[in-house]
Amino acid sequence: MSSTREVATRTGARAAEAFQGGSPMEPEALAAHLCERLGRAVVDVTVTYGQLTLTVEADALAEAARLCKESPALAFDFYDHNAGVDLGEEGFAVVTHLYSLRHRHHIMIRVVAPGGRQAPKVPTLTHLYAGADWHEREVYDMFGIDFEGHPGLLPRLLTVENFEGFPLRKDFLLATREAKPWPGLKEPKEIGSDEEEAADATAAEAPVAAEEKAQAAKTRAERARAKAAAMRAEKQSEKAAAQAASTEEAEDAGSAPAGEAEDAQAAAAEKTTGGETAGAGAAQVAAAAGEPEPQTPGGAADVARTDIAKDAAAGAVGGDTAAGAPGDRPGTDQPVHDPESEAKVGEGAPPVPSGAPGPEAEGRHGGAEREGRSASDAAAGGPKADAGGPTASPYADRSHASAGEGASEASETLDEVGRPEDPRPADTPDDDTRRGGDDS
Amino acid sequence: MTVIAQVTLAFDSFWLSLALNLGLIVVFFLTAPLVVGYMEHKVLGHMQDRLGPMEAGIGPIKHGVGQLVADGVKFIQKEDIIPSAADRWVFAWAPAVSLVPVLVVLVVVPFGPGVWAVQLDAGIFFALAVSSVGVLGILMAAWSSANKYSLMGGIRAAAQLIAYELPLVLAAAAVVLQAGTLSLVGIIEAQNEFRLFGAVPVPYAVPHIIGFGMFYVAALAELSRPPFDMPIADSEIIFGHMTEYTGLRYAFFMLSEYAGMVVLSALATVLFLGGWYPWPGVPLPEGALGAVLGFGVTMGKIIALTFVMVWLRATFPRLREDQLQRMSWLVLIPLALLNIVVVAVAKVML
Amino acid sequence: MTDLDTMTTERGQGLLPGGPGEGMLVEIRDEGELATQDMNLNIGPQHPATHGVLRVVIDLDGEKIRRARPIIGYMHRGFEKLAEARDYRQIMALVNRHDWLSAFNNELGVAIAVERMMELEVPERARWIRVLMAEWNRILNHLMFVGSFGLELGAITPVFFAFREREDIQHLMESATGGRLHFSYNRVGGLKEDLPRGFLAASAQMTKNVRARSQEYRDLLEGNEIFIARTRGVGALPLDVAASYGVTGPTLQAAGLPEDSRVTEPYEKYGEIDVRVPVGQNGDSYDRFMVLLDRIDASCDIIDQVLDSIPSGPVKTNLPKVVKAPEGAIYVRTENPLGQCGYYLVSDGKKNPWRLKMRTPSFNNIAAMPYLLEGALLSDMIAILGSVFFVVGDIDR
Repeated sequence: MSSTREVATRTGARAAEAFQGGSPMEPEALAAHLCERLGRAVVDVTVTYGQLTLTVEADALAEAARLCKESPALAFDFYDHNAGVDLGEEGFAVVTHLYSLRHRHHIMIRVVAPGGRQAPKVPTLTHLYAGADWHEREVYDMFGIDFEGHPGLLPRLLTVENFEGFPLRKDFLLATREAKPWPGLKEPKEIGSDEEEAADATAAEAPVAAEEKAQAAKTRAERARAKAAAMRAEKQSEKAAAQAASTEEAEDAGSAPAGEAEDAQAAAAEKTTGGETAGAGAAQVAAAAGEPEPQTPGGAADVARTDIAKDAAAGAVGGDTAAGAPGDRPGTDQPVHDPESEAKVGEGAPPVPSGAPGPEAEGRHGGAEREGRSASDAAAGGPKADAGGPTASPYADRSHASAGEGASEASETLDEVGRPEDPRPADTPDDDTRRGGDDS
Repeated sequence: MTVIAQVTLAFDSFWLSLALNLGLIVVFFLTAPLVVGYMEHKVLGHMQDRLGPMEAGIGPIKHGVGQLVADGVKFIQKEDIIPSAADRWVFAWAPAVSLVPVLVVLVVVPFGPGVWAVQLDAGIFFALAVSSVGVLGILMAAWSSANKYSLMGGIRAAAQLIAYELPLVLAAAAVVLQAGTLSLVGIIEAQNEFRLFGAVPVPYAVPHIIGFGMFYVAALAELSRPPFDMPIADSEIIFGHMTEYTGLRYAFFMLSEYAGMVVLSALATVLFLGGWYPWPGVPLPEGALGAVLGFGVTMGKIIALTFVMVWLRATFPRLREDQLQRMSWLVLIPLALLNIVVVAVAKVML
Repeated sequence: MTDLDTMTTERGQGLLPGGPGEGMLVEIRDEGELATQDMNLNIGPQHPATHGVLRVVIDLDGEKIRRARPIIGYMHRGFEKLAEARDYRQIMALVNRHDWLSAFNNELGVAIAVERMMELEVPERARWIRVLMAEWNRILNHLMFVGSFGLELGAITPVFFAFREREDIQHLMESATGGRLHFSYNRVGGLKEDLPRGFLAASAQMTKNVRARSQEYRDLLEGNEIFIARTRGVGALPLDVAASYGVTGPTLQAAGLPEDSRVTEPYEKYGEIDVRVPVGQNGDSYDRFMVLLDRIDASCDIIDQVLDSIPSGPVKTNLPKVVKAPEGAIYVRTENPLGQCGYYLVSDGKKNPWRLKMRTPSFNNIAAMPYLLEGALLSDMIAILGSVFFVVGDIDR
């Protein structure tokens, strides 16, 4: 096994020596050195996080870079990268990051391109650094900044040759994001009732009193129970309808005039709508409890009020939203959230897989379990539980703190994701800290 | 009289015996590459810490024995595609030009006492001359494919195959010199009677160790086998002259490569390893048993040589074509000439 | 002479069909001299040797490359734009994917950038585990290139051995992170969750395996005359050219300079352990390959040191519900397996980054390709492409 070896030849020791033995300058010293030589061309000196950003006039960029490269004290021979930044009204900035292999210090030379947003122009650095070639082409590609003196900004580097527009400009909008905003932009808890959204907007910065949280949690628990009742009723009605249909079919075993079958179906439909109205009634009860949003899309009006429908109206692609595909009904594609068992879980029973397990059954059950657990913590003033119906997938519930430690914390914490069968609270260091730990 | 001739004597017909001989040769020609190909799959697999084909089987025997048969069937049922810009006639006939010479060489190779199709007095001369025709097939394929990668492969192939003809021929010439005859059977018999320093019975591989090495290396280069597979370097020029080929034509190219391995190994066996004699001086029983044993010994030696070819494929990266050329012209050919001189001198003096 | 500058995507520009399809055009001049025209060959975008959809347009004089120009962008996915539409936690999933062979290191860079901007204190245990995972990722990456480099040169066996190792290590990583390629294990302020029981013991065993088996690659390739003949002196990159292009990583270290972010600007716990940086002699393909092999062993050493030092403790920090970085800009550079990967993060105080510029190592490394390829043979181009390690997703983002 070989380790560092003796180096030789032009690409080896002698050359490497040229790159060693320097000492880094402090950012302030670097700034002073350059300000001295560039004088009024230096517009701004910023040192943040230990890094120097020197803003210079655009026409002084080449001179500044030349100074950086050729001055032995600075020796910025390494061209790291070149970034464009959209400054909004002001136009565009180009930040060139240089590094010294010898002295191991950095500098970022920033230039605000004159010409605003219409015709930004910046002088090129390709005569000093070979690497500037591609980086400047990329900045041109992405922002449309013209680099004067560049040997060839076209054909375009990263985009297709006949691409129109400059993608990283802020006024270049992503098409899909115009049809529908990215659901991830909203905090997961925000996806749900409008009231919650409004509550969030106001409560985002202000500390939330524990009492209010407890109250909200209580209403949620009630809503969960109401929903449980509604779903139970619906299930019963469906069962009855199915039984009725089957008995009727058995009667009509020999000859089945379509009309009778239709009648049977109509009867079944009636019963389901009866169940649905029962559900709607339950929803109204829930609404009366302070929640305008029904959890089971019963009638058309209720459906229209859900986020799914709103997204669909806005042109969402199926399955694109965090809330699920438009038109999903419980029991078809997604597992049925069974608030009854969730409530039981809160009381200490083991988690029960609910509904039809989909391909991501684990995660969804985890959501169900968490909801159940958090429903149980409602009284303890724990974190808010969003026992949303089919509109909220478990992936939307990531904002919940673990059951173990939410009680004491006033502010919301984004904490563990957790696995469904993971009984441990968040921060137990359970792994061996030494090699060969307890391998029981 | 050849064994086969004895068998067909009952029919007392020249044409029938000829047809039978050629039929047997064709059967051998079609099955031996399958054996070699299967060996390559499995040996490569095991050398690379994996199993190789396991599923395809023939009847109850699994372990991938039917893999190449399945491949053949697959190739046969593929669509016959000729690129629109290609030269149709040349493109279509190139695989045949590559394949048929190998078949023809097989006609003169002796596999055992009496086990051959035709015995020629100028056997080795015929074999080497005909195998050179196969080069044309590669050049035809490369040029007619209308594909720059094929062209690159063809150019490399042309240079390489011509360059390595010479060491091949010169190494064989040294053996001919030693044996005193161009006939392949004669060479085997001469090896049987050869005693190094008058006493030690060894095959020609021992005194001609350099020649053997050269012949083998040149054979690898003639076949475009790694480490000499620049013409079909699949990481550089896709597949060289075979880039545009698919279906049965591609299968013929692959067949010609594997059959070429068998043929050149057979020639090496005859020239350097003593042919069908287990060891010079060890006689085989007479008659049909001897023929079968002799055939078995020859096949064993052929398989050993092809095993080494596969082993080299697993081990070595490929030589760049200029390094390849350098090796041939500056190393192998002078060595081969030197070899001939030394053999000639030794034959006269010893 | 074909003018590469006006080269577009149209096929056959600059060449006349002089026979079946395109070929070389030969003209006889007055003096009876035979003049030839260079052949313009497209290597890629689909090609076995280009590690993805990289396209190199070359002017060939026989087998010698007169001029080469890489054309990139076939895998441009707009990561930087996408990052502007995500919040600081969601970009972690994005940056896994531009250099997919060094996923953890990428995430680490972004996590460090956000943490430094927010001045978050990352727990000690998380920092040690980050080093551990980063080094495993580095070994995974280097094994990949060790295997594929041999494959491109025609040595078809080392790649199987390398992938055998990769499978084992990926299994190990999967046990902790759930992913074999895109780990998504880092979070802002720590890690997603703690390591599973037995992970450290398995790591210790795995380093022994990797060290033992790296001897196999050396046996197959280090002393192989054909390998040496194919790679010695091929594609030598002088240090000043490398600096001018901004080349980093094993490519730069092979040129003789031990420039490694883990040593020069230590992040996480690299400052507290002994990091060995192998350098090469000549900067050619052989040296790049040997540096890669040496780095595998060096990473095993680092892992062993980490395994001795991991403390117990939490691995996450409690983040506010809305993660916002204060206004400002920061540039964080980490030593990724392929080179130095930097993230220039500009924040306007909101919860999405205003600008996330990804300075990817492969972009700068491939920018040096025209210099390296000029005058090389076509086979040398393969050796150079295989030895200047890059991932196309990293170039194009």
